[in-house]
Amino acid sequence: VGRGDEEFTLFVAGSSVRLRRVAFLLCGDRDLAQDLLQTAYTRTFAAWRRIHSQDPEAYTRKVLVNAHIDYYRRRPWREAQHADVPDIGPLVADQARLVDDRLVLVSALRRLSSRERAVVVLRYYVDQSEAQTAHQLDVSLGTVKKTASVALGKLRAAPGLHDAVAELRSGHDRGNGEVKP
Amino acid sequence: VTSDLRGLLADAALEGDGIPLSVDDMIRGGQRRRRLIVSSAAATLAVAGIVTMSAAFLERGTSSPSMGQSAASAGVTFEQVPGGVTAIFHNPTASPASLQEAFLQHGLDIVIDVLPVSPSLVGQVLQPLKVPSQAPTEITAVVGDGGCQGTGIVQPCPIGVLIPTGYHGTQHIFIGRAAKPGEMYTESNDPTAQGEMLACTHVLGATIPQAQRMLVELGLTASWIAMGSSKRVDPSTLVGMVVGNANPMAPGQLLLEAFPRAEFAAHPPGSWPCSSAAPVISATEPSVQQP
Repeated sequence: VGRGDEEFTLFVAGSSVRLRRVAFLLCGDRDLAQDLLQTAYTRTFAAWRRIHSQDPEAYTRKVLVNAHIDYYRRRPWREAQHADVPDIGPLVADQARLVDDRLVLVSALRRLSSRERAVVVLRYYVDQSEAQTAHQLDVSLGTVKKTASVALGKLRAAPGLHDAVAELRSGHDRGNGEVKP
Repeated sequence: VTSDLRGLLADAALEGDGIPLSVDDMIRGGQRRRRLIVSSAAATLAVAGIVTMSAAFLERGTSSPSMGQSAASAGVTFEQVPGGVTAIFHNPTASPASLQEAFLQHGLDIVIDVLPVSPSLVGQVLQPLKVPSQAPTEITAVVGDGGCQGTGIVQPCPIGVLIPTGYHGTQHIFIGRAAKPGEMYTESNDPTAQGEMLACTHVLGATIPQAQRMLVELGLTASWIAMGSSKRVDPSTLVGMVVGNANPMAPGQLLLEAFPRAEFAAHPPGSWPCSSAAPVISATEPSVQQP
């Protein structure tokens, strides 16, 4: 095992749980999330010598988001599946409320476009600034603001999510304009 | 349950937890892994022309072994239930071949893979299966009594599968087994869950010297990285930091991630409460407050 392999192994062990959750929020499907993450890690490994001393997790997350957008760009028919109730595994009764909240949110996310989902996940789950989100998605700050605004509007309209989303206003909550070095 | 979007996202993201990718698969066998995933999805849709004998076959009283018979050597018990057949796994040391043979003897084309996992996942069905419904058309999970401590929440313990009557197709099932000494886990649970290496300890939140003393007491070894880094470092270089994250890697081996104190205080990982009579392994000096 080369030194690069060992470093990559440690990187995967340390980041896979976090990135798998990001992938799941992006696509709403655990199998697909795993597939997308595998693609992202494979591409990260290929670029490891170049990026390992920088911020490999940010790099992998960027690859992951792009892989997710590419996936739906190539397979627009899959968007139609998003109206289905998501597969979230077997559950026990006392988790019903928790499950309801998750179902509502995952369902609502699935109704967003892939780019809208990416903006919501990067801004409000990964907690990136608008500038960082723009940098990761290779779009302008204005595009992020507009996309976030549209996405939040859609989420706000989802039954059960209005209160959770109502207080958020794109560009006024965490948009500090910082750019990751 | 939190009431804001960030909290809801963080909570929903937990549903993404499933079988992690093994590094080996990603680097060398990525395509093989991908085929497994595709195969599983295809089986769900009953496509690819791999139509095999169905559970309906069992109901017609063929030469299949009788329901309720325990294939002791195979480590799986089949039982006819309303809506199909349950297969409960009760021997995590059983070989995949013997498990697969037991399914084939019951007319079920189920591919079994037994993967090394951290202790609390041994014997469990690893991949997420659909919520059982009144008339399932796909393979669903059979859960045991009580709950299992998972990453952040108590989850049902999947101990078997329900193959619905009339099911056609193949399915790939992953079962957790104990890892051999030195063997890397394919999947690991929260390190503080009951049965895991850091259960009933205060390693998370401890300073590096405190954690090192506790590891010696526990008979564990660790690799160390600084938060956000992928480079293994000597723990003596992690001055002023605390243990912010732990990943079980193999029996007795952990990957510990050191956080700056402020970062740990802002995003504490949380630990499962100690639910056994085992002594709590703690440092003599106070560590950073756990949530």
